Amino acid sequence: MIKGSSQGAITDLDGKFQLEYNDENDVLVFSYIGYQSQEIRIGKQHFIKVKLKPSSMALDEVVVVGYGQQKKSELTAAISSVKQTDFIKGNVRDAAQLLKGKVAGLTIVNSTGDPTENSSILLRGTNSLQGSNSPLVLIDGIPGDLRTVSPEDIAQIDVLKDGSSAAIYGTRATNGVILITTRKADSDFSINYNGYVGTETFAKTEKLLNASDFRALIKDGTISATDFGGNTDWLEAVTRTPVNHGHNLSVKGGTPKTNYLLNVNYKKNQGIFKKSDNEALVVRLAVNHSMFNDKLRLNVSLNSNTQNFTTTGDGTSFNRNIYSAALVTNPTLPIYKKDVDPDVLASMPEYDGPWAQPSALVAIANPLSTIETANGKHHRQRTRLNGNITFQPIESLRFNALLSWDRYNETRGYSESFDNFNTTVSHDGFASRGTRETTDQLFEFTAQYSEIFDIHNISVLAGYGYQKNVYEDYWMQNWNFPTDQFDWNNISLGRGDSDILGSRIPVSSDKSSGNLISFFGRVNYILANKYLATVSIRHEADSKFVGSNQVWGTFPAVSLAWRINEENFMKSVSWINTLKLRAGYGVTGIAPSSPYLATYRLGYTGNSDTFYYNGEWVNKLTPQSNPNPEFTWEKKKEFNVGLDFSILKDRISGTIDAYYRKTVDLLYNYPVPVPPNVYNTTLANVGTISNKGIEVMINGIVFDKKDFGWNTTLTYSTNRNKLDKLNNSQYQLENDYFYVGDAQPPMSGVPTHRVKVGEPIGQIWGWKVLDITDEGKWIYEDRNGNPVESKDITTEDRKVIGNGLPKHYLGWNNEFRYKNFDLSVTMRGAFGFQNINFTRLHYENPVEKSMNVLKSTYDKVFGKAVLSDTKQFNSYYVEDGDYWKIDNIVLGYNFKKDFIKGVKGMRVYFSVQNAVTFTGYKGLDPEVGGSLLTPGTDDRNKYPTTRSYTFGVNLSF
Amino acid sequence: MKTKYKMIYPALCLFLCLSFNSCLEPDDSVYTTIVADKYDYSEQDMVRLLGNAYTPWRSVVVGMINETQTISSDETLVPVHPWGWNGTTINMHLHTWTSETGEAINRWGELYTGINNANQVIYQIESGMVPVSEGKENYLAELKALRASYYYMLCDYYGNVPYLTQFNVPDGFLPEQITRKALNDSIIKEVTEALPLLPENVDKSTYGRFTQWGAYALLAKMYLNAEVYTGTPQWEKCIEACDKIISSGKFDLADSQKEIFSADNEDCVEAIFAVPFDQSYASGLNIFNYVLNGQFSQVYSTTTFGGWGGSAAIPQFIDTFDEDDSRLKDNYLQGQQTYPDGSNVMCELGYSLGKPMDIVNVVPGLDWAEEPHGLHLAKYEYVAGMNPGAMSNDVFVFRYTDVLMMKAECLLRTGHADDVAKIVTQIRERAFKSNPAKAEVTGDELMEGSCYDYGLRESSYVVDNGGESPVVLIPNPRITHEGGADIQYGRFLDELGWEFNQEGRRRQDMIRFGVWTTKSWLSHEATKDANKELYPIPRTELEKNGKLKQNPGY
Repeated sequence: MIKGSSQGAITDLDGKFQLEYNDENDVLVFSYIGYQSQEIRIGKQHFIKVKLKPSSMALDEVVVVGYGQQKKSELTAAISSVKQTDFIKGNVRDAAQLLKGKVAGLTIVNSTGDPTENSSILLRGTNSLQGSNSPLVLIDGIPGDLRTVSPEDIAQIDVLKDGSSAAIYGTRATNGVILITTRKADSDFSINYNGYVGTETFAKTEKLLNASDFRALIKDGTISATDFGGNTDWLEAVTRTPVNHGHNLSVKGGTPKTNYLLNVNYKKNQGIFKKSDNEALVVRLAVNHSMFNDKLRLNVSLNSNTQNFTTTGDGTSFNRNIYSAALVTNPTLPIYKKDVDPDVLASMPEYDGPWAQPSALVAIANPLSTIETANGKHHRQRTRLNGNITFQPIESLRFNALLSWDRYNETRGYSESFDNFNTTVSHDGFASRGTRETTDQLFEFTAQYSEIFDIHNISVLAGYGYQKNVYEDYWMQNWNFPTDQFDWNNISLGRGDSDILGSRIPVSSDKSSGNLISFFGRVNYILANKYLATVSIRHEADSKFVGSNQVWGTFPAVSLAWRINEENFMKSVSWINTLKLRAGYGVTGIAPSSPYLATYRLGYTGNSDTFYYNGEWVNKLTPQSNPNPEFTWEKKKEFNVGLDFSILKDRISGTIDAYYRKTVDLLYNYPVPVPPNVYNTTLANVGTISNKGIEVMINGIVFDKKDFGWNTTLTYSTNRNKLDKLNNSQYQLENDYFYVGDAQPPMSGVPTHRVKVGEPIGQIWGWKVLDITDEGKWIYEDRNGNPVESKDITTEDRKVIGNGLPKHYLGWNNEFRYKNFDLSVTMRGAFGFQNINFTRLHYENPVEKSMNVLKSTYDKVFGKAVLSDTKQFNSYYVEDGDYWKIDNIVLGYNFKKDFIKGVKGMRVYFSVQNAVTFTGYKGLDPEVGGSLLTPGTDDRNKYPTTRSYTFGVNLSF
Repeated sequence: MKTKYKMIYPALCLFLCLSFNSCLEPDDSVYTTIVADKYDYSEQDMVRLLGNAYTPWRSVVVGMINETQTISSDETLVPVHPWGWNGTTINMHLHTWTSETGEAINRWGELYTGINNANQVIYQIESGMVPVSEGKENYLAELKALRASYYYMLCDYYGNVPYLTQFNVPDGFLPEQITRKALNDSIIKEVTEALPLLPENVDKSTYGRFTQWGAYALLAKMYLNAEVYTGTPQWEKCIEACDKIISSGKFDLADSQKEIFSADNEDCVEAIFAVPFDQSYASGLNIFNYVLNGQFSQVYSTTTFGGWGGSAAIPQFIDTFDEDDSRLKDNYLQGQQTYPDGSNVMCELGYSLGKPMDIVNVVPGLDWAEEPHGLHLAKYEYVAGMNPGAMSNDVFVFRYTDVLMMKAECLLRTGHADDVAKIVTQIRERAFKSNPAKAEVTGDELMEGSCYDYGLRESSYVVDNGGESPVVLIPNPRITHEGGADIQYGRFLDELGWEFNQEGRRRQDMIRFGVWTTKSWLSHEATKDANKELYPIPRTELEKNGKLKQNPGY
């Protein structure tokens, strides 16, 4: 482009261009999406070679939006984009972990250390009472999950945060949309290898009584357990120092017309618990071909994802009962029978095998024996074949057809040997086998027309989409085997079906299917490069609503932006480089989590629940739910305003967004009386919930010298949430609240949270402790504010004693560069919330007389008396969860080119994840997942979080 | 060229679209269930629907046997054990239950499921949704009697409850609560009206279903408790209903009490209304799990490991038995327990660890009991190879002995003690085969008070575990002596306890004989609070239906 004129040229695929010019003093402006533009005076040269620098901070970077891409400067909505260079480095489990702390308003929690566990994601508060908080994840436009492609193969992740950007995805978009873009093939031949090796430790462990503490308490009669004469640290017995390693090899190349990319990723993670692991092999091959002068382009991609992991429970990964067993098992019990005090052994029940077993009465087996005598393998295979055909007859018109076929297969096997506790007390051996298959097919056709008329820049998109999924599952179990040699591989040898009185061995098969049909369109309009407008609409049918009066839903959106810095009056303000004001409104839906919700269905009861009629057992025919044809879409309406800015030659840039979102026709399993209803809940659209918040991201280049650089990014978000309404004309709750959560046995039936109109979600509900009596009984505050002893407290005296949803999130990322060294430090924190410490609630009460408990159990409560009350859910176990984590530290070194001959680039790094946590919370990790309505629930059985150390190398050839 | 390509696109699009079968139709396929609107009921479905109304009785009887009628009474308790049970079961013994105590409130939902399912099937028949060519009126009568049986239990547990006999109600309809007396009258009216249309035959086709005799037994129960439910006794009417059953000649006393509770008791001559259970096809009877310890899984080679070791018999109750009463031996496990190979079962926890499990008639108190403490409940036969959570013994909600005893009680209360003596003697005979002389009772004896030695009866449990000083588990045992001689017809209450222990009815009998709130046993101190005669309405139900008012005292 010749500066100041409309004369310009476009390069061909090899990057060559030709341009006629008039004046040697003309200045050529070279620009390309994702690169800094560069200006060169033509002078006398006839051949100009230009190499553009990638834009670092540039607002002109490409952002992936629904069904297309846009320059960041042309965006009208709240979209956060994170490039590969900014990802969290090290041993990450899934794609979401790459973004931890990088996007304001996006909370990513890894609440457990289980290597098979996916991250849980929360964007802009809790917007639904049903369904889930999970956002829609699209990989190159095709629905998938966070593990579909390997994190190393991802080029960019874009998060559609507000309603106006997400609305084009209609029913699935309320929790936000995460667009994952994989690395693209091109003709530049290169080979890249990334590898790492690492290990993990527990971030923190519970302080339990050790064998000598326990023994002393047995002696003085405080506890009634047996001294088996051993000295076992059960947690140590079931854990190990794990080794994790991963390798990623990427090859790309070809010609400008036909090129390819092959990415092979292998990863093997051992969990910190024995027999907890995860192995994954992800291979992706992408081939591009263009023909007819680039008018027709084909992209074909094949993605194979294999995952294997060991299981120690039927249908699970790591059996979490093993962890809780390790906490509560008597520490004087040796691991093996041979180590038990012979006198005690003589008095113990006889169990087969070498393992010392605590009593069957507590039904908790020796935790190491459970690991060693259980064996399971879970195998998952996802194969995705997708093709994209783009036809561009003229520059401004493009047709695109996207086809995808995705098949997921899962096979699982699990068995227990004859030395397993279950075998020694009842049946001989156990085996289980299961398989699952899902098929997802997608067809999407879009047409896009873009043209610039004078000062009008217009782009129109229209499309049709059809998505179909089928789910099938089958499993069986058997027991009473003649041998335990065959694991689950010879299940027919079991005789579970020929027990003396004739029982059945369980078998099960299941199938469901559904589809999603949609029409969508969008218009982008830019006037004079200053005023921007986007309007979109999606009209969609979801088969989950079949049977209701409203199968089709419509989801509109509109957003506007004003690039203030382009105005003439701003030209003089040279320190402001960009200033853009955005405003948007959009409607999205919330997809219900299960199919057939509105269909009034009948089912046959299972074989264990039949009716005895005239000497025969007859399967009953019963309704599956209460009918509700009024069932309709749950919709979220959102208003968002935002400001993008960069100042001081782009040294400081940032984004501020404020939103107000309201979910109407909230779906909830409304409690209804039986009779007249058949079931005691009906899924109905009853409520309204609102969320408002502010998100801020500020990016600064503090130093940018030759040998030293420091980039810093600060993210902050806050969210306030409120349930506005919980009834409709049809469903009127007597009380404007309901209870959720359960304090677990022996407190089952006692709720942990209350959801009430006018209050936020996540209110922790229980008795408020004021003091303790000299006898160790709780003193509570009753409903009138008076102290009352625990024996006289009633259910009416419960109060709000906390809230599990953080009010503030803060993230601070820093990147330092010194000569060839680089250092990045990611810090995150959440503030203004409480957690229920279930571990303390259950294992910090002297009422437990035979199991191991926390050391703090026999501490005086409030320095006054040792607790001597029954287990009660109260404010003593609800703690502030505020924390600040130095989450990820990466130190890297870049070797000079050809440091090793033939190696173009080489980098080594060392990284620590979950490095340091500053908190007053007594539990293991204040960052807990928790379900939709019971946030702040710190599960006592969870696989504790770990701190991981990784050493890695990147090589390019 | 261009136009040619442009043609390809719509064609390609169309082709792809069609290949997905339909591009605009939402998928409505179902695979494991049936879409109700598209289903036409056939005559055969009547049985499949009828089952919905009957099977809720299963959880109702399990609840009444394990929890709601027993562990709050003077026959059984669930003490704190070394392996747990330190939660709501404590409240049951102390009568400090609340509207959240599962053992007290869980029956509500189970009973209303039965009522609502009955209403639904009645609606399905009346509206013609299910074609019934023959015996439509009989089905309706049967369902109404069945529905009344659920209301009978609601009347007994909660008293003032919503009464609804319609299924097809407007959206958002909330049923109205009625008084216990009004409920009592409605039940009697419904059963009386249904009676003539019920079957008279007692055979395989009516087993587990309501016959005329089941309906009479239900009426007898209502009349027997009428004074409690309404304030007005109905002894004569109860006798009348019992006589209908007795004179029918369809039932008889079983030769031994044991056979009534065997794992294969389907052909029992006493069964008037049976709730069938089966290890494979009708699970839920989990008495084994609820009352026995894990070691018994090996004793009985159960299909899966089970045994939560909850309930224990209250020693004072056991002490009322005559030593020659075979029911004591047949209904409880006591003494040294052995495995099938003859070796001793050993204790595994607490201070009893390593000692042979020699079950004794001692429970230190609610706060502590170990494996050998308190006789173990064993009325429903345990057999080798059983499933501890799904026993196959059928449960008789109404049985012939009960009909005879109801009649006897009414005769006693109306001054015919000598006639009563004959009936009671007849029943005792099968329990005193070893000493027939003891079976004999006189009218005068039956007019006596109870031999139950009521009063708090805790004992300190002192264990020397080698520490500096012995461990005392109940440091301040409470002992009082209230006795039972002052209980009117107390001897008859004892007779009921001996015959019907563990059958899920002790609470009802104790209330009728006026001891529920007036006496103390083991760690339970008399509440002197008449409100405890009803359980509270569950909190969750009050929240769902604003028309409900909680029972007094809660």
